[in-house]
Amino acid sequence: MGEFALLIFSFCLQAAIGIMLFTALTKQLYPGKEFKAAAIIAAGLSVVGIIASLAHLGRPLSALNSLGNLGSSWLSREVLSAGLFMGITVIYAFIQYFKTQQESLNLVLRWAASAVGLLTIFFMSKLYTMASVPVWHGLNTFVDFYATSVAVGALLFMVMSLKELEDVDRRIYGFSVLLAVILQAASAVPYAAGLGLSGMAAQASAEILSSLSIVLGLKWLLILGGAGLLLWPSLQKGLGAKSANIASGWIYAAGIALVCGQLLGRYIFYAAMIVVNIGVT
Amino acid sequence: MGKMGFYFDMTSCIGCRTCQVSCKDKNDLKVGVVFRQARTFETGAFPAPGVYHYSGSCNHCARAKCVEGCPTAAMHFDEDGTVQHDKTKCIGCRYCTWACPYGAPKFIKEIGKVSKCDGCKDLRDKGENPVCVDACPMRALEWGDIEELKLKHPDTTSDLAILPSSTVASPSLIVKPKATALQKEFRYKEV
Repeated sequence: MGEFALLIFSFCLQAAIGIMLFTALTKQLYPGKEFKAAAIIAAGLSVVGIIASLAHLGRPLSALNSLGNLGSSWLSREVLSAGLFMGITVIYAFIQYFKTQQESLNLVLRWAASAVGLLTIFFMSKLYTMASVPVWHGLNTFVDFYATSVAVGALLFMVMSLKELEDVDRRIYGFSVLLAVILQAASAVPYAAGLGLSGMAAQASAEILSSLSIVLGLKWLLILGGAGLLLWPSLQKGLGAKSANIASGWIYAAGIALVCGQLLGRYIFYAAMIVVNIGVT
Repeated sequence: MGKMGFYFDMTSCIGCRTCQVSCKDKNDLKVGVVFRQARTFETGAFPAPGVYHYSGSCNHCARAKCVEGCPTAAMHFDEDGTVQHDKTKCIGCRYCTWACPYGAPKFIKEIGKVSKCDGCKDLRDKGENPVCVDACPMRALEWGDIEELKLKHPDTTSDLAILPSSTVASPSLIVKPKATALQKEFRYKEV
């Protein structure tokens, strides 16, 4: 699998976007809280993602050339919006530590990062669906990318903000994760079933998926298991110290399971790539 | 000047690979990289077996997916409608290798960039043909204004069973097919 850099880029960016989205939503509900750790992790993930994307290039030092075709290239648009997202997120994280009193600026930055981030995922999905790679075509890529962002973002936000979220209603995170992964699974099943009925390249991808059936099974076990595991601690509120510790343990375990599952899913996404070609139509 | 492209007479092609070798030589391509490739396909079984060869390169498509998708605009249309690649802009992102349904752009690791058939632009600027056209001993390849080529060779198609649909990118390619090449079932034959 030669697309390791892109795996890191797409996963880290989507996770960071999800974290910023849940930071913005939660700050609307609980304005008094800060969520500094989540801001730092989002900024860190976006920086790691962008650096990984440079590693994919044959000429990383000329990366800015990639802004040269915004008129028709979805990749060009993705580069611009991903760069913008990283910039806003890093500034936001910086402000959390050094200019904490700027709440109106914080508000703008949080929502700007969320909006640009969601747009980035759209561009990212679009560029894959426009390639001559049938396994990436269709709505499934959009659902997969957005669901990863919401599920991993909500969970990492929760993990990074455990203390601050102790006394609040955490159901929104548990149910967001669950809803995202259910949609992800609901989209993947008919999509995988239809793949073998398409052209030769899609059938070749279906064969690769079939050979990875154990990895595929593990992916869904971890994703659905992680989301299920998160439900109990999400429903608890105002726990004693001992129960709170157990709930935190569950959240960490759910986080590890879900992140591993989504990473496996992204590995499969790239591993199944077969480009339409002469003799492979 | 109209849009330029290739005519390929499959009924004359004997699969000798001279086009492929001449292209590789002209462009000084290393092992594993080819801008034009001749492939052999089999159809049917005894008592009605079939075989045909297809010599393919960049088809300089009218709606080139590589041009549309290239983030740097390194892939671009030349005045004659051919798809050209500006190496000074290329960053080696390889998106064109995913976008092209004919597999024409090739990533060359040594330079960290993509390269592809330019229709031998340097030769054409001197009034000559692309090297593959002149090298073919069977005169199975022809280069010219694609609309004029279509008038000259009316019994041609841009759609073969082995090719992606021409509606995807509108290739500047016409092929005089063998009947077997229109059959849906085929097998790639390693030669």
